[in-house]
Amino acid sequence: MSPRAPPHRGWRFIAMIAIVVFVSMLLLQEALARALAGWLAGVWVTTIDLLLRILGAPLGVFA
Amino acid sequence: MTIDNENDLEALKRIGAIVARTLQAMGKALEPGMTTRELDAIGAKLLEAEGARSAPAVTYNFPGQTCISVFPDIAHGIPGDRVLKAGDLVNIDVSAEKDGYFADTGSSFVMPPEAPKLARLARDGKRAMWAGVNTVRAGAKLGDIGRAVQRFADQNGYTLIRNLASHGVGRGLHEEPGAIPTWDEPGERRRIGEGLVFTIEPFLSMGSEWAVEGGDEWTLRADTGAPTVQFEHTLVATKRGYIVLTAA
Repeated sequence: MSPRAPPHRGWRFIAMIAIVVFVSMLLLQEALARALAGWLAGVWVTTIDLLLRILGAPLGVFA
Repeated sequence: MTIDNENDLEALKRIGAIVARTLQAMGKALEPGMTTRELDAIGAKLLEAEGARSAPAVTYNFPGQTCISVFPDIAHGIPGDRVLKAGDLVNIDVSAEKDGYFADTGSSFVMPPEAPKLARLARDGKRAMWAGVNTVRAGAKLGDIGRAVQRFADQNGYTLIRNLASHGVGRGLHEEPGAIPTWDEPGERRRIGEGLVFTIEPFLSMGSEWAVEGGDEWTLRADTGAPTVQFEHTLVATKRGYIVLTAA
C-alpha cells in the first residue's frame, strides 16, 4: 500500500510560475500606463478648459 | 525499521513469505465472473490461516483485507461487487502484520486474453521495479532507486506516477524513512542505512504522471486514464545488496 507523496514541484512548475509572473507584470505595466495616460489626458483637458475659460472661449468650441 | 539482529530478520521473513504466498494465490485465483469481494475473501482466509492480520485494515480501517484495483483504478481499490472479466488489468496489494512485524507486496495481473500492449506494460512494470531494487545496498543513495526506475521508464517510452511513493515498513505499515520516490527526484540525497526495511513499488504508466481521487475515499486512478501497473517487494538493505522478504 503506497503512501501518497506530495506533488513534486519540478523545473516545469518553476518555469510556469516565472512565465505567469512575467506576463502579469507586462499586463500590470500596460494597465498602469493606460491609467496614467488617462489621468494625464484628464489633467490636460482640464488645464486647456481652464485656460480657454479664462480666455473666454468654452471648450465646447473644439468638441 | 532498521534491523540489527537475526530475530527481527526471521520475523520479517515470516510475514514476508505470508504476504507473498497470499498474493500468489490470489493471482492464481483470478477468474472472469468472480467479484473483487470474493477475491479478497480468498486473501483474507489465507492471512487468517497464517495468523496474520491485514495491515491496511488494522492501520487505517481500510474496508477490505487487501487492496484490489481494476483498471481504470490503479491503487487502493476497495473489494466489492465489481465483477472481473476477461482482459481486465487488476492490481492486488497485500500487506499484513504478524507478531508485530509488517510486510507489503503487490502485483498487477492481466487476465487472459491479454491485450499485447497490456502484456508488455505488465512485463515492463516488473522490470522497472527490479531496475530500482538492483541499486539497493547499504550506503547507496535512496535517490538512486528513483533514478534507475526513471531511466528505465524514459528509455522504454513510459511515465511514472509521481505521487505514490515507496516507504519504510517493518514495525508499522508506513514508517521511517517515510516516502521514497520511485521517480527521479534530484533533491533525494538520503542514504540507505544497513538493515533498513522498505518497499520498492513503482507505478509504471502509459502516459499518466499523477494519481487522483477515484469514486470513493480510497480508490485512486491515473490522471489521464492511461493504463498503469505496479509491482512491489519489501526488502532489507545489506552491505552487499539486499534481501527480498516478499519473494514467493
